[in-house]
Amino acid sequence: MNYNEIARYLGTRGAPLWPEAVAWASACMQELEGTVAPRVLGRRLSLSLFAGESRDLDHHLRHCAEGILFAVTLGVEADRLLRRWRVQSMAKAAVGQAVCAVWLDTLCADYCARLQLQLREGSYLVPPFSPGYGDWDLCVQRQVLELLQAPERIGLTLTAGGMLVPEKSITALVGISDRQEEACGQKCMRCKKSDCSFRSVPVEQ
Amino acid sequence: MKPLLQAIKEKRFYLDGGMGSMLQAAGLPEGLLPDVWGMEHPAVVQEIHRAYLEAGCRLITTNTFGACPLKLAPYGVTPSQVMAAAVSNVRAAMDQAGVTDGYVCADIGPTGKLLRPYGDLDFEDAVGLFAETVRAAVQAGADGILIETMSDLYEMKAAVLAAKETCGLPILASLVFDESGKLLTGGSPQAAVALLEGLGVDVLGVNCGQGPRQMAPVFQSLWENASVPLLLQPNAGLPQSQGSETVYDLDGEDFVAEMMPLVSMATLLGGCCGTTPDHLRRLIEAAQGIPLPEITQKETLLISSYCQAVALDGNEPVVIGERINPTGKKKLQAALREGDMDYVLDEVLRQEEAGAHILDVNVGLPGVDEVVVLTKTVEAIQEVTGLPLQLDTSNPEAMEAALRRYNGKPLINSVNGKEESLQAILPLVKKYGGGLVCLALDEEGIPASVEGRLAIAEKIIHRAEEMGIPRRELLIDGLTMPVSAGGERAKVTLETIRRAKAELGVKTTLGISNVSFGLSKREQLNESFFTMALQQGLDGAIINPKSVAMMGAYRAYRALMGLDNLCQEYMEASASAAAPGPVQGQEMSLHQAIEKGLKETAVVQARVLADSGREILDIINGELIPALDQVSQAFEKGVLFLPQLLMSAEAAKGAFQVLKAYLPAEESGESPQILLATVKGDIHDIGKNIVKVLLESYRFRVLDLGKDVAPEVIVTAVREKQIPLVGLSALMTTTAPYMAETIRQLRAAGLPCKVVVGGAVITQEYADSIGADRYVSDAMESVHYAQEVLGVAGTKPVS
Repeated sequence: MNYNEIARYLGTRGAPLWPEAVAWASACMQELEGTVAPRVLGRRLSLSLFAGESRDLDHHLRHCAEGILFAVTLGVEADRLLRRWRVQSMAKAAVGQAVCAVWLDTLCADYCARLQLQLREGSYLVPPFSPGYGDWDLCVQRQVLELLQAPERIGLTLTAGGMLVPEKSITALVGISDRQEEACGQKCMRCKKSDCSFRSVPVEQ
Repeated sequence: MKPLLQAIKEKRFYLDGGMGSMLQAAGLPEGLLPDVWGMEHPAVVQEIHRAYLEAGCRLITTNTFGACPLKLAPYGVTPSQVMAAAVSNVRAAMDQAGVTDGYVCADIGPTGKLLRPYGDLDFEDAVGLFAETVRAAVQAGADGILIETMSDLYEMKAAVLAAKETCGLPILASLVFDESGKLLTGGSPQAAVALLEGLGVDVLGVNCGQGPRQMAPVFQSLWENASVPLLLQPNAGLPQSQGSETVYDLDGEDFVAEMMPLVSMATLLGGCCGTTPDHLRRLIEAAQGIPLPEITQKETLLISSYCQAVALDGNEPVVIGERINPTGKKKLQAALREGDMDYVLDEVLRQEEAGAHILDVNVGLPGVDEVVVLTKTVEAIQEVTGLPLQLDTSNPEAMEAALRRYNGKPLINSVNGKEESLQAILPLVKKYGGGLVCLALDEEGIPASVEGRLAIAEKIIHRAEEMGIPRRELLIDGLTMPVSAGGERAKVTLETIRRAKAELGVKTTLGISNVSFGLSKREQLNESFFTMALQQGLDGAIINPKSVAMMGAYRAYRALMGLDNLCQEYMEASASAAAPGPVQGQEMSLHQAIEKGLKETAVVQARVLADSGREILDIINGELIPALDQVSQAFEKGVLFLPQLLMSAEAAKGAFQVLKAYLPAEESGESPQILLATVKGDIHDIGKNIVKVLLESYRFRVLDLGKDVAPEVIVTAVREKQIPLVGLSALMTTTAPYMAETIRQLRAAGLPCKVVVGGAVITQEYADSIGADRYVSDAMESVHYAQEVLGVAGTKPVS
C-alpha cells in the first residue's frame, strides 16, 4: 500500500503518515480486501461520440480518434465499510476514505497499464479524462453509464443529483494517440498546476 | 391450457435465449432502448421470438427488460404501451409458428438505480415503479412475471412485493451473480434463497453474468438450499472484446456441454446474453430424457441480511444479541428518545465483535413511536452490519413497517397462541417472510405445565401451516421464567424446549437472562441455565454476547459437542480473552489523553478527576477545552492533521459525556442546537460528519439531519426547534443549487437563523451569491463561527 499517497489524501503536505494512521490504514485495507470486490468495465469506442461537448476534452484528445471509456467501482461494500468505520471512529473513517481513494487510483492506473499492453506498437494511451474535469459537463455521466451498461454489469449507477453511487467509483475516457509524448506517464510534466500536492514529477525549470 | 405453475410441475420448460444481442444483429442502433425500438420494429422482434419457438422454447419472455417508467420516460412512452406491444409480438410469433402450448412471461429488469441508503431511490418508490410495469403486464395478458438480472436483493424484494401486491401471476425471480459467487451488492446464494422463498416466489434462479461453467457453484448452492423449482439462464460463456464489439466464447455445442451437468437440477432452462436459437435448440435436444428434478422441502431455517444467511439447522445453536432493548437501560432509552443512532450502532458493532450471529432489535418505550422508530433503527443498523436481525415488537403495525423495509429475511419476535396475535402476525409472515418466534402462551396466560405449552405450540404450528408457512420457519419459545419465584419453572422451560424439538419437529428459542431476574450474581445462573438449555437442543439463544461468561459457555458447549472442529474457535477465543488490551497511557492526565487522542484513557481520567471532587466546570475549562484548543491550533498551523484532530475531538467528547453526568441539571443545561445537513441530492456526507464531531467535542449540541435533505425538512426543523445556526454542505456542482434553495426558503420563512456553508465545490463567491452568512473552508472554521454566533460553549454553561 502506498502510504505516501494516503498521506497526501489526508492533506499532510509532504509529511509521512504517523504510526497510528499507518496502523489504521492497514486495518482499513485488510477489511476492504476481505469484503470488497472492485469491478472494472471498459469499452473501446470512437471519440466522435463525445466531440464538441467540451473544449478541454477536445483539446486533450486532439490527436486521438479512438479511446476507451471505462468505469471502476469499489462497490456498495466499500460504502458500507465507510459507514461502519464512522461509527467506530471518525478519525478511522477519514483514513479509510483516503485508503479507498488511493485504491481506486491504483485500480485505474493498473487498468490503463493493462490496456497499454494490449495496444499495438506505436499507440499510446493519453491520461484519463473524467466527466467533471475542466469544462466537460458532469451531465455526460448518464450517457457514460449507459454506453458501458454500468448499472447492470457492475452495479454502478447515478443519482438524480448526478452522483456516482456506490460512492467510491470513477469513470474516465482514455484516448489512444500515436504520439509517445502524450503517453500517460508524462501527464505531470505538461500540467500547468505546479503547486499540486499530487504532482508526481518535479516541475521542469 | 393449463396454468403455468401447474405446467412446470409436469415438464421441464425452456425459456428463450438472448434478445438484446439478437436485436443488435438485426440493426438496433447504439444507445437506443431495445424495448422502444422493438415497438417500432414488430416484425424483427416477432422473427426472433419465432426462431426461439421453432427451436422448442415454450416460455417466451417479452422484449421489456427496460420497461421501467424511469428508463422509458426520455422516450415519451409508458410501460403500458411497451408491454402491450411486446406481449402481442410474442402472441403473434406463436401464431406464426403454430405454437399453441406456449406461455408469455413479462420480462422485468432492474431500475438502473441504487436504492437508499447507498443510492437515492427510496424502497417504496422502487415498489411503485415495479408495480406500474407489473400492472402493464397484467393488462397486456402475460402468463407470468420474470424478474431477472437483479444484482441487489433489496431491489429484488421491491420488485417481488410489487408483483405480489399487484397481481396473482406466477413470479419467477432471477439474480445475477459474479465470479466470486456473490451478487454485485454482496449477497450470497443462501441469502437469496432465504429472502426469495420468504417472499413466496414460485421459481427462483440465476441468469446473465457468466457462462454455465462459472455459474455452476452458485446454481449448486441454490439447489442445496431451495425448496422451490429453479431456473437457469446463463450467457453463452464469457464476453470477449473484438474491437468495439462484444462476443461470447461458447457456440451452441460448447454451451450444451457446459449446461449438461446442471440440467438435472433445473426445472426451467434458457439462455441469456450471446445465446441464440441454435444454442437453445441443441440444449433442448440434449436435455430430452433427463427427468425433472424432484423439489424437496428443506428442513433448515434460513435467516438473512442483505448479504449473508444464518442457518438454523436444528444442530448448531446460534447467538441472538439482546442488547438493543431499552428495558432497564437508561442510556439506550435516552438515545432512542433523542434519535441518537450513534449509541445504538456502537452497541450493534460491539455485539457483532463479541460473536453474535443475529441481533434482536426492540425499541418499545413509552413516548417513542415504535412504527417510525423501529423501521428507522433497523435501517440504520443495516447500514453498518451484515448480521441478520430479529425484529422484536408487540405492535403489529410497527412489525409490518419494519418487515417491509428490512433488507433480507429476519426473525420475527413474536406471535403467541392468542387469536388476536395469530390473526395479526401470521399474514405478515406469509407476505414478507421471516423465521417466526412462537411464544407458548395464550388468552389464559402462560401454562405452568410442559403439556400446556406444547399444546399452544401445536396450535400455532397448525395455524401457520394452514396459511402455507412451513414448520421449518417456526421457533418455539419455551418461555424462561425467573427461578426466584420458586417451583420447577426452569425445568418446565427446558423440558418444553426438548419436547417441542423432538415431538413437534420445530426449532426452539429462549431469552436466557430472565431466569435470574430478582437474584444476585445473575451471570452465574444465566450461564448454567444457558448450558442446560443448549443441551436440551436450544437453537436460538437470546443472550448478552458481551458477557464473557455467556460466550464462554457457548463456545465450551460447541467444543464439547464436537461442533467446533479441533476446538479451534474455542482456542482462538480463549487466546484473545487471555490478553485483554490494556487501556493505553493510564498515567496520563486528561489533558494529555485528549492531546494524544486516546478516548478510553480520556474517559477513565475524566472519571478519576470528577470523583476526586474537583469542580466539574473547572475540569472542563481547565483541562478539556485547553487540550482541545491546543490540538486545534496545531491542526490549523499544519502541524497535526485531520485524523489526529478527530481523535482528540472524540476523546474530548467521550470525557465530556462522563463529566456531564456530574453536573447539576441547571448547569448541564443544553446549549443551543446547531442543525447540520448535507443538501438535497447530495449523498457525500463525510465533511458534514467531521464538522459534527468537532462541534460536539466543543460541547455544541448538534441536530444532524443527515444527507440528501430537502429544503422543506430543514425549514421545518429550524422553525420547530428554534435553531439559531444552520450548517449546510454540498460536494457537487450539481447539488449546490439546493444549498441556494435551502437558504432562499429559510429567508422566505423569515427564520432568524444564521447559515454557514461549506463543501468541496463551495467558494466564498458562491456563498456570497446565495446569501449565506459565512463560508468555511475547513471543519475548525465552523467551530470558530459557532463560537462567534452562539458563544463559547464549554467555558461557561450556556443559558
